Amino acid sequence: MEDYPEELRTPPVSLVCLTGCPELHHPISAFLHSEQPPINTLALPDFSKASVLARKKNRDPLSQPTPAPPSGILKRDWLLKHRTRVPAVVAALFRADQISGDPAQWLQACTDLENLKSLIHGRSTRLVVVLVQTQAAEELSEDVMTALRKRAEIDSKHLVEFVQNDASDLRQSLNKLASLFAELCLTYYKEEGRRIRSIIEKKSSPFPELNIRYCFKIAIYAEFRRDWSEALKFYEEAYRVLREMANTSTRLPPIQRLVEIKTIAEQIHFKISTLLLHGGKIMEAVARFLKHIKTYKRLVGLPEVDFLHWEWFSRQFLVFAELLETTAASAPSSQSPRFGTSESPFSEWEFQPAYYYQLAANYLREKRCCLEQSSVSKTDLPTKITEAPDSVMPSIHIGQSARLVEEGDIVTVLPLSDAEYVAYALAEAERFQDCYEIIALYKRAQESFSSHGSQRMACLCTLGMAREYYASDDFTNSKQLFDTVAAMYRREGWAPLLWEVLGYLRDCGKRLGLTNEYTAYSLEMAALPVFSTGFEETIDFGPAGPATLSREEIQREVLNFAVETDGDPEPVGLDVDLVSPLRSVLLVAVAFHEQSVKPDSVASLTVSLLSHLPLLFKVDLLEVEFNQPACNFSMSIPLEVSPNKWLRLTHEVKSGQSGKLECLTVKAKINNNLIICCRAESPALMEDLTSWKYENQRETYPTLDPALSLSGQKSIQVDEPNPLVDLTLNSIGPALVGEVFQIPVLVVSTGHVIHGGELKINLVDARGGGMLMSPRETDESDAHHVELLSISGLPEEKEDDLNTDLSEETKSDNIRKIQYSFGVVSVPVLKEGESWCCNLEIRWHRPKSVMVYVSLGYNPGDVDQRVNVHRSLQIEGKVPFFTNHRFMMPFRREPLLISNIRSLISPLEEKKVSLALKENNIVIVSAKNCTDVPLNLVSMKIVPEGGTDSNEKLFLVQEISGISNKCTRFVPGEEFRGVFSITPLVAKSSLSLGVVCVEWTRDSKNQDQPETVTTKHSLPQVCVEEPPLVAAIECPPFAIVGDPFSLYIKVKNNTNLLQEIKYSLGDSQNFIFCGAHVHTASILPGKEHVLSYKFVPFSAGVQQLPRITITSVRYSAQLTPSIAAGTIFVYPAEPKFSLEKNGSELVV
Amino acid sequence: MLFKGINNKLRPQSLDLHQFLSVPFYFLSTSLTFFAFFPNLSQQNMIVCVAVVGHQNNPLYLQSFTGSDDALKLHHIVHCSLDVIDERVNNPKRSASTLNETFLGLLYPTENYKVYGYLTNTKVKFIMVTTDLDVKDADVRSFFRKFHAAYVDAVCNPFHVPGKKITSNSFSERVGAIVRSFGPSMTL
Repeated sequence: MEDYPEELRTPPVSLVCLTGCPELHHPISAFLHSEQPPINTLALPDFSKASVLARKKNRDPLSQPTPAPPSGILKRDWLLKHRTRVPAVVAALFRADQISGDPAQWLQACTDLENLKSLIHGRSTRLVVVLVQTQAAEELSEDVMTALRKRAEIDSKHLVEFVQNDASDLRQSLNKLASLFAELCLTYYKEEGRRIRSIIEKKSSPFPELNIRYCFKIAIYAEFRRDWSEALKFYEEAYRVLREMANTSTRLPPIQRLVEIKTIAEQIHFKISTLLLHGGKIMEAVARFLKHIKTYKRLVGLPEVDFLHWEWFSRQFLVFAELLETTAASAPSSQSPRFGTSESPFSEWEFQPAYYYQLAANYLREKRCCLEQSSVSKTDLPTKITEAPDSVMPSIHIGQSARLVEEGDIVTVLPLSDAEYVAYALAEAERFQDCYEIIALYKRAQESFSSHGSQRMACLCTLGMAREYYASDDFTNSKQLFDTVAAMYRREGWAPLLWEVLGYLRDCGKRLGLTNEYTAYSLEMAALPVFSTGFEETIDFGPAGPATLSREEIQREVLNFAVETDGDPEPVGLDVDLVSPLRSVLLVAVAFHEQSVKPDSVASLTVSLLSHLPLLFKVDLLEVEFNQPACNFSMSIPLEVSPNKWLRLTHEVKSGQSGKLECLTVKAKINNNLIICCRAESPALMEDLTSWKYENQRETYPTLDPALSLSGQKSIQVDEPNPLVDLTLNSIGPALVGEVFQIPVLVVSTGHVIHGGELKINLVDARGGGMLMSPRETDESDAHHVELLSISGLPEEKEDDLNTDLSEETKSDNIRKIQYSFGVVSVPVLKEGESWCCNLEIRWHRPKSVMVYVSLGYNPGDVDQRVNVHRSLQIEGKVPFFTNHRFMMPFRREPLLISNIRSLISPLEEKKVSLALKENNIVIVSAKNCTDVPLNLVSMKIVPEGGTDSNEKLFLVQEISGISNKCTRFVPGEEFRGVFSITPLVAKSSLSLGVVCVEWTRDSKNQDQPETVTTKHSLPQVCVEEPPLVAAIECPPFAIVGDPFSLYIKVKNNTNLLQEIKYSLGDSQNFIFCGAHVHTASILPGKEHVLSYKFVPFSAGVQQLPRITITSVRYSAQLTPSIAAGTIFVYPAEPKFSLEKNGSELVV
Repeated sequence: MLFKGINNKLRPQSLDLHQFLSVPFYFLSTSLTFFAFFPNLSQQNMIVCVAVVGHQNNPLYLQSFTGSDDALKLHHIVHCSLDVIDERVNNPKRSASTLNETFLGLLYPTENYKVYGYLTNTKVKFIMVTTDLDVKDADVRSFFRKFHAAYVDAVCNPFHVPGKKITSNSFSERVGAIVRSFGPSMTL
């Protein structure tokens, strides 16, 4: 597009000529230029320069009496002339004082006007006279104005006053001037257009050239006045006539005729495309372009200049691509719902410049091919024709060339013959290097395509670039580009396309002297799945050549190439890794038959080789390498690898080192000079070959056993040697919470000498989870439910006193590290038969089942590897005593506790045991042996919280009954009860009574001093309150039939209020009594009221006293003594007790 | 490269009697089998290539029906048209009516060929290259329907491994027949 002249590329702009008053030209030009639409100015400083407007003598050819055929279609400078030299309006500027003042000046003005008038005579160019006034005041008289107008022969509105005294006036004048100019320009171009149109309509020209020329001119004039639709219409008409003319015109020799037609067609088409694209009609533009291409594609012309056609053709694409690119913003993305269907016959790419760039490149290649042919055939032609004329230049008509002949001072322009023109064109064309242009076009296309995500199309463009570099012998660049293309085709398995690219790559490698690359590409080609298609003879495969024959040939060539250079000391080495395309050349699968093997025993493995090369080849030497170099082996028997068939070799290896044994690489030496080093692959994890995985072939397995092909691994686990050490863990029954439980560990060497032994102990929750502590209690010291305390009973400690020197030495490298659930201790060197023992001391804080893992790791001697022995033991942790407690009141004494009444009313409230202040409250603690072993109870006591020696005594504890003996033995299931009396001294809503400590030992006979363990049971928080009333029943311990006895009910008022009580006594058939059945009493504050009754029992035995009920009116509380409290034993007669020595009688 | 220009001219594009005469000789020289297949030579220019492309954009079947040197060029055309298929399939702006549409329409604009695409429900792509520049959509759709049926029969063969190339001869023959019957309205 840049090759086109400026006037063709840009829309035409109206031209106005200014003359006179040069100082005003600049502001007026600038203003007009910035107008919308802009107006260009041709500024002539004074009237003498106006002669440039003079018209050359070339009359309309049709107006002449005998019309001569035109010598061309369009004149080269016509458009430029109208844009720079032929104004639509001529404006003569005069100063007002020039006109009104001096008569001489007036005369001069008149002369200038006359000159101007004569210059524009015969044209429709408008004349405008501008009177420049520096001040608004100096107004010209009406007479002068009229005289001037008459002189200039113009309308009154074409005589303009231009006032420039201040900015606003200047602006106003400029606006006025601009609108006048715009209007006149419009009229001018309209008239010009109409004039030419009338010529066409009047006389039907015998020359289509003139028709084209006139249509073009009308269109240009229409463009001048921005009438795009008319412009388009006439361009189309011109284009149509031109196409018709192509078959009929005989004016020029055929070659030059075609060149001229195409050049004109190109320009007209360019105009049409530009108009359509800028009008936003991209669909029409594309359709128009396709039509243009279709129309001219076959207009190749004579074969010797067909390169001119393809060059022109390529340029059409390039220009259209550039046009599309500059108007890319208006590309239809959402306009068409779906491309490629009947609704929208275009496809996506037709709106992308990249597509046209790519085609431009393709046709430029075509041009180069034709040019090469023409250059070759040129030498066959007679020499006199092939000589290009000396000075050929473009003639005055577009698309024509002419020869310049100088004879002395006279220069004549002569037409060219076709032969001369061909020679000239050839010579011109050979001067240019097309390949760089082709590469640049492909590059633009490739970048654009990849930015749109069309990778395959971009890949095709890259291929084009690479081919061009190849053609221009730039093999380095070419190879680089071909490599990227090959990667794409490899990934998608397009073997025929890959074949072509590899053919180029192979050749590049050869030319660059890269032996390894050359060999690699050749082998990859030979192993490609490219088969006969039936058209090998004609397919253009580039340097790769046809596929079917060549695969074998290439293999032979590469393998024999190695043989030829036998003397070469350095063989060609190729590495084949897991992603290499050369895997299809040689694929190595290694599978061990087992998953693990004992040390020093034999492990079998299968090494399988697969090649997709078309011919059988021999492997002279096969080297298999492992991560343990001692296991490496090689086979020097020649092995024949057949095409597409697994070659399976089974071998046995023996490893003395435990751990992983992995096959790393397999090196195959072929023909002594090619070494292919393949990474070994496990059949189970082997990926398919990208090029062969879609081929419809029989599925084969790398190993004989198909199961091994699915699971086989290239590595095997070599086990540790068997430990010759006994590790024993003993335990005596379950552990009890709180005690230090000992687990003896015994290590006995039964064959190995233990060096650097290390015993690791690990405690793990047997129910899983691994945590031996509750997450909430991590901060506390006894947070660990089970704790490894220490390791005792080590032989060093015992012998510590005996040989201090030795123990110091051994202690220095002793490792002894103990944490809550983990411990490490070192084991000394043990010779065969020696033993070592220790005790693990573990304490349970909570009942829990724990797994104890003990592992012994050691070096068995000279071999540098560890042997590990593991043992584990599950130990249950149990609670020794099940402890419980119960609160009671003293016999026949009932304090009224308000909180008890309240809890009866609202039972949902938190139930807390209430104790009466300063009363003896009884607590009974029971402890039951819930283990399987007998235990000795040493003591049971209540320890207040914070110790017994607290400053302030909150309550008094008294043991009423406890352990009589020092040590009481309890068999499993037996229960012990201790009775304590607690007398609170302070009323408190929440009082902690402390804990019950039960001290016990295991009942073991063999231990002299068993360790005493304390198990604690905490008592609950109680509420201590002062009872308002305390009722006590006093009654003798027994009665005798018929013998009266007294019963007192004492109710004490502890409050400062008067308390009223009601009491009642039921009837009983076993007793008669005296006293009130139902009565009330009032008790003064702090006083005690005594109800006194006398009873006489009737019958013997355990008898129920009459039912006593005491009701406190104030608290609405009723006291009914329990059945036990209301029971008395009645003897039938006075009992006779055996008397003591002192003879005193037991008196109640 | 040298033969390219000449062959372009030999390929009959306008049905001109003079060019027609050159065709039988041309075919005789390259492929006798095709001559036997096409007693009516006007049809052999209709479809020049059909292809089945798998999930990984790998060719499963590619058959060209042209005797000239552009078999490789057809490979390139088929490969590049996969770009358009990708773009159309991944384009989210498809309207509801086209969601289940298998026919993808014209894919690839070239001056000598038209490339059409079709996507089965199992995401296997069919691509057809024709030299008939005025082909009707309905004809192409019907071609693809027949081709799809043939493909389904071919992959239903218990000896066919899914995802592998189609090497069945009967499939090739059937495709040949479908290709020959394409565009029956086209006559001399």
